[in-house]
Amino acid sequence: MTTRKILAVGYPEAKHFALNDETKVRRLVVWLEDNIFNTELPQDFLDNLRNVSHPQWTQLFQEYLITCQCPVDPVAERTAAIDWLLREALRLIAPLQNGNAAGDQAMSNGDGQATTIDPTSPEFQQGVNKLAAMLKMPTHPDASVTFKAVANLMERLAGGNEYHGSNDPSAFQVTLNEIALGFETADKGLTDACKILRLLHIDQMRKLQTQMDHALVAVQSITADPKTNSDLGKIGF
Amino acid sequence: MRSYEEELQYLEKISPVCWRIKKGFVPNMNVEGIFYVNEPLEELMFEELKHSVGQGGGIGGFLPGVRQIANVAALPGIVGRSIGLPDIHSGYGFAIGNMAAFDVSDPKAVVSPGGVGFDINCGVRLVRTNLFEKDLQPVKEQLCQTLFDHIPVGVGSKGVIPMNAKDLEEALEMGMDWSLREGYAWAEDKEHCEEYGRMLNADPSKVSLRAKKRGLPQLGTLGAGNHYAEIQVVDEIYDKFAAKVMGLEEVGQVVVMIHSGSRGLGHQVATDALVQMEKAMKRDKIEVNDRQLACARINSVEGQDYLKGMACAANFAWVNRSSMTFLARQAFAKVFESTPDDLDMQVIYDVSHNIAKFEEHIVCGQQKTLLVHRKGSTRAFPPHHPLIPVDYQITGQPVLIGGTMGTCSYVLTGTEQGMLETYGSTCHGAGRALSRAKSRRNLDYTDVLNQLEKQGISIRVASPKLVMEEAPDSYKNVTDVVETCHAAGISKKCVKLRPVAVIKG
Repeated sequence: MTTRKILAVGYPEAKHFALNDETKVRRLVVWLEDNIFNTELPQDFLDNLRNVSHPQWTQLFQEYLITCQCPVDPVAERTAAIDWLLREALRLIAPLQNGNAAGDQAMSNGDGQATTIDPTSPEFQQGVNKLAAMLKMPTHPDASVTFKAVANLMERLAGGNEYHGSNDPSAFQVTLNEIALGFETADKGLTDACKILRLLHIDQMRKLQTQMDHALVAVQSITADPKTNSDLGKIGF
Repeated sequence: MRSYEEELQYLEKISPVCWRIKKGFVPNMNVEGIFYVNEPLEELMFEELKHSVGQGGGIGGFLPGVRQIANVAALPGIVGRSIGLPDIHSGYGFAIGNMAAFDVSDPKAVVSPGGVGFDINCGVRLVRTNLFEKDLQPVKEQLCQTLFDHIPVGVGSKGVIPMNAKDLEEALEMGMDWSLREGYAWAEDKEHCEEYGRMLNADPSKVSLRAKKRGLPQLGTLGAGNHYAEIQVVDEIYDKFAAKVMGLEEVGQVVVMIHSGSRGLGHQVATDALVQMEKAMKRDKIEVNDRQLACARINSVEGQDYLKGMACAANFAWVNRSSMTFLARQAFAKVFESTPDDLDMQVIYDVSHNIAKFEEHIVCGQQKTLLVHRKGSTRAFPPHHPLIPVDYQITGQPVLIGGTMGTCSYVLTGTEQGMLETYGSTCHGAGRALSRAKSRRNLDYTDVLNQLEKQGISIRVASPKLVMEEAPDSYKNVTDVVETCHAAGISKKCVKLRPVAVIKG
């Protein structure tokens, strides 16, 4: 497992790594610090840590882990501590990797946000509001909500040749009054709101069903091999 | 012995299309019975009862429909009412067109193979195309012949899809998932199928070797009797929105209807179970009014074994209809020199009208798990029911009503009222008016074929001499049946279909 994590974090020496080789373990720790964690520890402490042949290295490493709030004791459970460091590193780089893998949209849920954007900054708010105005969309006081709505609309506008299932919902033209809610409320406004919730829910379910259909088709590409043999056929009397 | 007039004392008309059968009509009724009929159907129903009075029994070994509904009302554990749908006619034990639900939490509640029927998961599937009648006319005969060549029909017919014993075991357990895995079905087919084409409680070890032997060569065959594959066109649209959701845009659009079941396998599963259940009845001292109503407690070994075997037969029927869909798609692609995809040959829906299933229903304000027997009755769930496909959440479940050879068929949708009144059930087809033997005596097959030709309907049959058994005159008028369900509010008319080509056993 550890080997896979080392590969996943992108450690260049991953192929030659060995957990029982003390120097290699130390080098990995240094690489993780320099390339992923970038902790703001005093420079001389980090320099000492970088010196993998330092006589007090183990002690330094222990201190380092304490500042990282590692729950594992590095002396008693050395492997577990390394594993924890790798997991932390993966957790840090995961959102960035998701952002890069935008090509695989069919199965991703679209949660890979760019972490470098500050949604509270005035530039962001202005930009999003401008986008919304161009698309003739209402804005929300929270710019990130507006941004999500803009993204949803863009996705739909851009998805002209996307798979829509057997029934294209955009083809329907029906008023809310014609749709049965399934239960009764005394207030028309409330009834309409419930119907809209129903429709939104159905839309989500359709998307889920489409994903399932895609998954089935993917499996079929491996398993399916339909055959017929007309010699077997026999018409009854 | 009561006179006909005395019998009538127990029947009461409670609405223009609904009659009540009061307790006492037959002994030990636990609940009342009801049946839905309009005037022409009412006449047939009462005539049958009148005939049977003084004869001691019924016609052709079966009791009249009204009495069968009442006898079912006397079964242990039944809840609500024993319900007769407008297409009801006498059958083995339960009438065909009788729906009854049993409370699973009641230890005495039973499951009865007679309440499912011998052709387990006999059902109807409707496949749409983007073709119109004018596209069809020039190649109609050729298409009809190609379909006939692809889908073997008739008693003892054998299918063209190679299958060994291991495949069959897997198909019995997996249902349509097997067809999907092997590439005979599309992912979207599963979505638009009752139960998603797979009963999860199926256990192939509960199906006898004899049943498997009968089923093995029959995969992808229509069978005989009232089973058929029809090319139909949309004749009338009543609910534009619902029709559009199903992909039926305009009058004249071509669809394919497949009506078939589990062939010899289902028949054998039912026969095997009846033998076991007679023993169980003696042991558990279950009393019934009619020997044909053999049953066993749901939680007994016999009851559970039957349900597991029945689920296998149901799965077989779905694999069978999926295989025939595959063959029909091939036939269309060949004749129109296109692909099934380009012809938009999507399954609109696939219903089962001979099955027993565990479902959640509201009984006297309480949610209960019921074992719902539908024999010659189709599930018709309302809009927003969690068990219907996402595409039909707004319109309600499509209900496919197959007509008889040469008459029209219908697509209905499920309603809230049906959920409350009939546990989400409605009619299944035309329903026989004359017994098979009587049809053979009264009708001539050449007249029947000539009549179809006059109507411009192409036909291919394996055994023309049996055609008159299935002639429209042998059946109740499907339009009366559908109108009654619509008027009673237990389902809603959506589309009417008219046949242009038929293949039959």
